Amino acid sequence: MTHNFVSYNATMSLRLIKYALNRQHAEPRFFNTPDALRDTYDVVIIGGGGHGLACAYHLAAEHGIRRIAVIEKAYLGGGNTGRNTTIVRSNYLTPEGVLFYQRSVELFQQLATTLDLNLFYSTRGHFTLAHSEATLRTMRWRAEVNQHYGVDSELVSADEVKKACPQIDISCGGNHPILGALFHAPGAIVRHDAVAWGYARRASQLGVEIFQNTEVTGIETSGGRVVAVNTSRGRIATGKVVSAVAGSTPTVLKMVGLKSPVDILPLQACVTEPMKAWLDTIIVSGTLHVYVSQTARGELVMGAAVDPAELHSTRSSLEFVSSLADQMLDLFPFLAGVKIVRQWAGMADMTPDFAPVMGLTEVGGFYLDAGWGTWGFKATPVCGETMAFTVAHDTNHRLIESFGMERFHRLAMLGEKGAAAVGH
Amino acid sequence: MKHFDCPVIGRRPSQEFVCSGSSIGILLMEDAAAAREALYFGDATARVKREWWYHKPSRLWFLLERHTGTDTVVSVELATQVHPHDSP
Repeated sequence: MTHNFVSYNATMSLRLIKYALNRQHAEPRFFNTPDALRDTYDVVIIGGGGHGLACAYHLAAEHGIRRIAVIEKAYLGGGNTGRNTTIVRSNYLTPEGVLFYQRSVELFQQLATTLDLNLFYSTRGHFTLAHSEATLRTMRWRAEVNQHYGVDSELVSADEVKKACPQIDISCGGNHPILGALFHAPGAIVRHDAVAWGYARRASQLGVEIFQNTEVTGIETSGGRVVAVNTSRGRIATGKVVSAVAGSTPTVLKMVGLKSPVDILPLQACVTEPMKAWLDTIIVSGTLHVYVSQTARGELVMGAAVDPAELHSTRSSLEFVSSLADQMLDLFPFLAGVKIVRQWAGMADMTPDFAPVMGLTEVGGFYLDAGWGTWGFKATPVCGETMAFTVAHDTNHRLIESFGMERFHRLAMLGEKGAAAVGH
Repeated sequence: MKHFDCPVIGRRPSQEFVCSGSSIGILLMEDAAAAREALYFGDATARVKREWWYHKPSRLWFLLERHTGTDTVVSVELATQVHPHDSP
């Protein structure tokens, strides 16, 4: 547990006492719900998930831009923000990726204080298992890159994995024994809904207006620049639009006449019934296509790689849950009697190189925060910070300079697959 | 459990197949710009797409027309019967 968590609990107790002594018990709403859209805003953010709300917060808090509308098609945090497996880490493979996610972990570690909300940020340690010499080689490479940039990341033996997680079957049923692991001590989990709600509350306090159940139907451009956004609740004149819509990225890009290298594939996850706390760490196996952590409520949250084919849908499938259970039982045979109680899916916007597509685009005033595939939640705070800078200065933030869409024209890929494919 | 109705091998469970992506025709490396467009800047909105699917047990290649919004398979063809411009 982090220090934030402990100190915040002390504050919480004081608030509880005050609350008990107060006759008026109505807590203020988390964020405002304006009756109607204004005719014009300085910035319109499409997508009321973690990324969009974090961008709104940083624009208002650090760049003095307060006339901001966040437009959400459904409900706040109901897309991939509320559908991921809540893992935070920075042990990526490319220097660009490592520096970017490292900043995100730093911001996450302070986020409960920044947002004045207990996010249940819990540092667990993150093991990525190696079942082959080839995987060990990639991990040695990752550890070297990570250490060079000051990220706490090291190769550990199978014995050390067993020591940290005694319940694991190191032989994996004899099929693919664990040879070692990449250990990343800062690896953490955090309540994902709280992150979205916390950003919404702080942004709202700073004057940002949030509209749920409001769908963007078109974007007007003139002379290669954005001039307005049309929504199901009316037209908004604006010179700056941020798209932070994950699975709806191709649809929004079509509105401004852009094409992208993003393909939409479902990413599924599930949770078990709650059980006594036994899993302290986060365990990931790229070979077995599984990752698992245990929540504060005792449920195991589990996920796998994306579905095998393109699909714009959040349906979940029996194929996913049966294949995941099969692999999980190789690692933890004692879970055979445990029930899975919920499963769901998100629409992941996958890029060919497993790195995001961010920043300025060919359309003036249209800023893209996309290509977040299966690695977006952990980047929420740093996306907010860098996108806000990019929008305010109309210049890409230095941390996202390599993530622009033009890299696909130059064939300058950022090969992040070795660190992002399954290791969420 | 999802199944594909195949004209050659009958009704088979989807796990027996591997999707190898959209059919984008033959790319000529002399025209790098066109190749980049075809590889990286296709239409990713939900629509009917022509895709390569491999059936692992029979080692046969198929071309499916599938709607990427509804997952409905519109047509299935054995790859040997199709035009040579659809290359895997």
